[in-house]
Amino acid sequence: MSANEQQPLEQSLATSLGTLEATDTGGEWATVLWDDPVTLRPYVVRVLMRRFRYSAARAEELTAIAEREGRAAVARGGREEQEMHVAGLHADGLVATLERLDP
Amino acid sequence: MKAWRRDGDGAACAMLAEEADMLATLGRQVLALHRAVIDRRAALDDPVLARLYPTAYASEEDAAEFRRLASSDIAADRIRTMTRMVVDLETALPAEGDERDDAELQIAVDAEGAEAWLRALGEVRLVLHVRTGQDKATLTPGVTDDDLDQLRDVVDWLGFAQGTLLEALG
Repeated sequence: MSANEQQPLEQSLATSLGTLEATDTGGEWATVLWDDPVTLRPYVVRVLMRRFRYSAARAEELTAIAEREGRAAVARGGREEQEMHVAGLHADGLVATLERLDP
Repeated sequence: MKAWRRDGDGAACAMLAEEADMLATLGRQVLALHRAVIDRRAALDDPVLARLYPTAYASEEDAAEFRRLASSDIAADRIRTMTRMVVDLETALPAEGDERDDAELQIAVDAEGAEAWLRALGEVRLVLHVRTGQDKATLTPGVTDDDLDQLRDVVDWLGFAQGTLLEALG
């Protein structure tokens, strides 16, 4: 359960996405996970547990919300951090978007 | 193939040489998609690429900026994990001319390899799922309904492979 395997992507993204920082107007952003009827549910749960260090129960709950509502906010915080999460979820094959929380 | 089972901190399974060969071929095709993304020659309106590299923002401008900055890194990371699966398969496959063609291959992966396989199996499955759901007119000329049915069987096979690996890892 170490986060080491995610490091190569996170290191390169920190360099690539860091260029956004200059125009980052701050504020809070959410990482939104979208329902994906194709991907196996236990895989989605596992990805959420590993990336966000959620308990199995929390990851299951968020996955269920995405299935039921079509989407679920799975993380919130600074823009750059949420962009890393979205990129990581994309790399894992999930559909995720960023949304500003305080427009 | 037989279901994955726990093996130390990783997992192991057995599959037929022809299954391993098919999976390696599909894996190499997906690798080519990711390389096209890195080389900026990928057709992003292609349904498969649109699914593998989805839009990150509702705003077109932000989405394009995210794509410009992040898609190469995402592609490189996927190449890393897909290559791991393809190399594991190629290593397990008998050499050309070897007479063990119908023998079962044993495949064992450590914890890191198992994570790479989980992602790679899902990725190949996603690609085939999108392709088989496309309007036939948008596919390579000559693709028949039988071809598509066969691909749907492969999607099921990949679901079994990924599902049992998930169970084995717990």
